[in-house]
Amino acid sequence: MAERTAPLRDVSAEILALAPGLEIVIVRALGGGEDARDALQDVLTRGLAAAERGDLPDDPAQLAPYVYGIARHVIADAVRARVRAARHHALPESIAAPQTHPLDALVHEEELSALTNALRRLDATDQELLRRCYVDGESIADVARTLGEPPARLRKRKSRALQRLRVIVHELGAQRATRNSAMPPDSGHTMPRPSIL
Amino acid sequence: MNVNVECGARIEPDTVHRYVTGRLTDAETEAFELHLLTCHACQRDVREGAGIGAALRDDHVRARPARPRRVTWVVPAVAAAAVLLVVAWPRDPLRSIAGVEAPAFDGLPLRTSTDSAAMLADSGMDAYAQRDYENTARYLARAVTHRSTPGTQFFLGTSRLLTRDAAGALAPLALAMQPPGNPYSAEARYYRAKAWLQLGRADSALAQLHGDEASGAWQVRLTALADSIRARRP
Repeated sequence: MAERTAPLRDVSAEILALAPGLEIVIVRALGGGEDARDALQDVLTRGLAAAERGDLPDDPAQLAPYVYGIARHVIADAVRARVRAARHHALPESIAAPQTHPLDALVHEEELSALTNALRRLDATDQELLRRCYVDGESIADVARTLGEPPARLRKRKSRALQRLRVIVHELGAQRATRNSAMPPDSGHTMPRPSIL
Repeated sequence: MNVNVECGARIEPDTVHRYVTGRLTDAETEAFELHLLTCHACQRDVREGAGIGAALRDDHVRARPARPRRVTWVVPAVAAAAVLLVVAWPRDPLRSIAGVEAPAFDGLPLRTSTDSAAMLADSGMDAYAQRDYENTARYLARAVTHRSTPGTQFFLGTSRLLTRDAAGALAPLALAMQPPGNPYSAEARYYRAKAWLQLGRADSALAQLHGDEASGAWQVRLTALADSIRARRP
């Protein structure tokens, strides 16, 4: 009987596959500035270095928790660096704190515009439900209590509203792509710039 | 715990929107973030939720359902006052073209330099990326005291403009136009004209729009703005 061997793991690829999730975690903690981008690079570099040294856990299921631990250290370092910089330049330390809505940095202008247009086409009640969830952070149970509706029904309504939203965004995107194909590529507002210094 | 149908994990159905709005406890956040690292469905939901929150929060989506409210004498009184205001306060046609959008910044960070000007400029542009224009202006105002460049002056000026400090925007935008033909000069003229418009000075805005040759796309915008001012000027 032929000997069965475990497939070789590409640990580097496994670490790099965590980048999109790490980006969310880091942006939520630090906002979307340069130090957040540096932090992401730092986490990946430290993870890859640990892989080279053979320091990663053998159990593949433990890789994400290990890298998450690195991310938390890097985020804490970045926050401390911001506090030091703010003190050094006599600026308010609130700059070092996460911004009020740090995840906004994940949203590109085009996506925001597409979502805004799509949201306008939803029923006012669906808009309000999404506002209470995604702006006010209310739980469905709380919303249900104030509206006097069963939570299960509201949950379904929210799920359908999101589904409709995705369909509208998709349709608007398709229309825009058709229109844009006849437009010149340079609008003058997205010109790459040199560094400001 | 419930099962999320898309990713199959046992997470509460409210978790994504509570994460997006920062309503999870530390322990819940840690548990969800660990899951998020490997779950593409939840990553998509978080990005989508962040977009929905941003769109709804900034009131980009205006149509809000009417909430039941108590009708008192105040409502008709305020309505009457509003009508009077509209009648007595003629709309300034120039104000409709005085608004500005934040110019895009796709610059390369200068991480090799650690001097004060570079650090302050970096911090300023970090704040700019987060649309925090007040802190952008605060950082860049300090950066230009160490080293003035057209780029720092340009973003200092536009940040002040975005925080309704049109008078404070004039000087840095003038400095951003020097030397003529630098990568920021045409755009600085455009935004300086906007600053004049916000100050109600249409003639100064028009004068600003004539100057050194701009590249194609910016020349079109400068000309279009000048035409709009002429068309609306009394």
